[in-house]
Amino acid sequence: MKRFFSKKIVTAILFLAVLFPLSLFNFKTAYGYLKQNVQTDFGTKKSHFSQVQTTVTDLNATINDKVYQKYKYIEMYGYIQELLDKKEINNFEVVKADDGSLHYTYFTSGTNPVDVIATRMERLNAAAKKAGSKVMYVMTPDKYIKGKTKFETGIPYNYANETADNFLKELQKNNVDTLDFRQLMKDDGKYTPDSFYKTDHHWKVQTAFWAYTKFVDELEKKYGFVFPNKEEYTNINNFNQITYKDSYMGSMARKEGKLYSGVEDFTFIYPKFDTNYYFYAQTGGASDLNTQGRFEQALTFNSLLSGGGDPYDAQNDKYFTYMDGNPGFVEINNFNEPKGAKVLFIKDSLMVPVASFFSLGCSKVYMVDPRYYAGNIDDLIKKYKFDYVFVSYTPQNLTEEFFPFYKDAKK
Amino acid sequence: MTFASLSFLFYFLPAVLVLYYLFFFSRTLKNIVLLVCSLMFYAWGEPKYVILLILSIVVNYIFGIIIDLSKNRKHAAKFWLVFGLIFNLSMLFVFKYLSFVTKNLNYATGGDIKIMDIALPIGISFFTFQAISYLVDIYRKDAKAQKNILNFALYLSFFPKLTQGPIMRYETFEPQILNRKETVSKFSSGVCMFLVGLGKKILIANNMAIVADRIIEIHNMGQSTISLAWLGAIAYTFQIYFDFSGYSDMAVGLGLMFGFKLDRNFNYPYISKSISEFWRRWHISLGSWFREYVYFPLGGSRVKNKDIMIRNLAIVWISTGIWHGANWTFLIWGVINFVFIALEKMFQFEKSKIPNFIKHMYAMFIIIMGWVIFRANSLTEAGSYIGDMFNFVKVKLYNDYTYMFLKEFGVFFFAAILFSVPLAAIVNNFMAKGILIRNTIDEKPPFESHSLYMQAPLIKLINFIYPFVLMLLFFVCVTYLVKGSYNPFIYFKF
Repeated sequence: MKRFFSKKIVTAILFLAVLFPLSLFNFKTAYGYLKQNVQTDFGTKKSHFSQVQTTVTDLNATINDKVYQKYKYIEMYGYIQELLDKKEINNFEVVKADDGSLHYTYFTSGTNPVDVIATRMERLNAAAKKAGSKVMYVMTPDKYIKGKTKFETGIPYNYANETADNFLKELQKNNVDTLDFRQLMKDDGKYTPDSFYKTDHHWKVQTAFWAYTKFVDELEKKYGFVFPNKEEYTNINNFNQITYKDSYMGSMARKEGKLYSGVEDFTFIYPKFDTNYYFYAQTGGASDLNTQGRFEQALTFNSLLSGGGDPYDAQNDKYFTYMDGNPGFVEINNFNEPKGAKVLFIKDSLMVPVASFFSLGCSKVYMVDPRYYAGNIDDLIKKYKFDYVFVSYTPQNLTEEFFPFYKDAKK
Repeated sequence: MTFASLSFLFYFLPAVLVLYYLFFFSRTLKNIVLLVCSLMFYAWGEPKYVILLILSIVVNYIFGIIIDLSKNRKHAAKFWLVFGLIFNLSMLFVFKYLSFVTKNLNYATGGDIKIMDIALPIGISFFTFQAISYLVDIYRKDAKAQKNILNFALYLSFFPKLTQGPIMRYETFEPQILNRKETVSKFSSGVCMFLVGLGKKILIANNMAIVADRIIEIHNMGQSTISLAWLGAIAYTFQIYFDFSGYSDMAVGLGLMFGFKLDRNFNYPYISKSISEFWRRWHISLGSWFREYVYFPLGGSRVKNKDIMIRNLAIVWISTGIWHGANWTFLIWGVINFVFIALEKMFQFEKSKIPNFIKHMYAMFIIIMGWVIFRANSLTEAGSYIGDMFNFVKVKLYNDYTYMFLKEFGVFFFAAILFSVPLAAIVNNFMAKGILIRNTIDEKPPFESHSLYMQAPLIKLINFIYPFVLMLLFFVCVTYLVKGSYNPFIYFKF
């Protein structure tokens, strides 16, 4: 039996030789955070006993998150999935299309209901009009393009585009102005997978710039909107474009690793001409953010472009270069266009770079991301009396979470 | 805390190993280390309910002493035993069944009794059954009452078996508390078993769980097909086996690392050729417990007439069903097991000359149907799912989802099928047969057969790569854990 056990003894030795060093490294990596968890949880006035469950949950979360060389494991995981030729990753967290682009999806039997969100949108329309604002719902595109995006047989499709169609129909029926970027993209031959990042659900900054110019055109056509210095401000030749080659990992690549997802180029666009801004952002309990200066000093956070930070950290997503991503509340003052319009965007992340460029022709731009905004949107609309109120979400975000306004019919 | 977690692997386990072997000179100190760590292990998942576990330890310890003191007065001993059983079963009833019973009483009577929302303490069924085993063993004089409460506490709370078994009988565990011996071979075998169990859980069970859970989701959306429903049922069949047997392997492996021999809980149940055989191979410790503490005391099979035997079987299998959870689905699942076991006994099915293949197909069919009911949230859901499996008139045979699940998870299905059969035993048997032939030809004396076996090239290769394969398995499992991949814990209902 000696030999029989020898292979097991070797296994045990190897196991211990790996387990203990890894444990020490993991502990070292997490120690500061674990200490902080305990100090924070037990620093509250609540009884220590009631804090135990919270502390255990927090410690578990830290242990799972602060792992030594965590991203090497994520890469290894992605590599295994690639070896297995998997198109579905981790319980359909992400799926890969035939062109290699990654997508969020889920199983569903059809479209999501839109009655509630359409009603809220109608109420917002009425209330904002009463306050003297023009209102428009702006539908940004879903990355899944019918007829162009090809999933492997059986990979679920979430019917987000069909939900969006239903929603727009419902709004149009009730006289809410709408703008559908999917149609505009189709008309301009832009509705292609190349308009989106492969590793992220957002459109490329170049596409967002194009969308901004179309947006200005459409507003002009529909409302006679006057965008100052339009020719200058919407001409791409008046903007610098810096491309960071093979530097971008979108949210989906961060989940599955670059060995599975690949990396891609990121292009940063900012004006060549003179600009002068004040930018203020606030999110929940986080401290306020104040910047001032040119477009690229006030509205963009260029440290994200350097690639110095951890590329797997969501905080370092290059897409968040514009306006620091998704603050709950943003106020932008454009000192160069004091006579420009005063607008509000109630939006998700796709609209952020568009709104950044759009601010060039506005006096004031306000932005609210309902997910992180602590205030009341109904009051905001009543109090600020905007010239324009734009509500804009991508089809996958057409859920009640994104429409937390005018829940009450009386308002 | 679960074994398949980073907190266990990289924090708890190394800490316990260090502390345990630091006190190599004292059995008592080592036991205290294990006890304290076991309570911490439980408290990590259930900070509040650790008090319940301690209460169970203290109360059962006292009952044990009292029953032992009363053993010469049969009626008194019986009284205290019944009292002890009432305490344990009441605890189980309140935490596990009270909400269910209240809900059904309200439904049946149209009443409005307030349904208490009580969270089920993890592992309560396991440690309660072990406490009952302790009291009954003392009453029967199969074991002596444990005078040292710390030793008794260790029996009830030993972390490898605390939350998902195996259910150890006191008379088997008790001698090991003070007289076990830690050896290198035990430790090494324990490590290997633990790694194999981890692999079963993380790689096979969790991937099968994705298939099963998503297919049930598709079914609930009304988009299932016959092939998809069957695939989901098969996926769950593999999920529950690899999850449960994976945890059991890890438990046995961990026990061995600390010198304990825990009972084997699974023995390739899916090679069974009858439901009776299935239950001799599935959750063996639970089956043994019911046989020892319910079936035999009721008279077992050695009763005057078959009616009593059937009654005994019914009691055992309905109890087995509801032991798994407070839901009608578990009860019906128990009844199904009872019906088929009773029929097999009546018709002496296992001794019949029906071809093994047919017997196997029959057994697997009943097992799979049973798991569909077991997995369902309600009998309605189970009925509707089974309807999808057989409704050739209204339900489509196939849709693209079936292809997708097979393509995306095919490798895991293949592994599941492969490891559901005793592969190692088959290879060993195959090699041994070859050696037997060589022995015959070479006319070597039998005592050399072992060395000849070891010299076989395939065995040599297996021995060489074995440690590396297991370490690779460990790394892959850690990778899945760090990634935060789908990792359900299915014992909350138990």
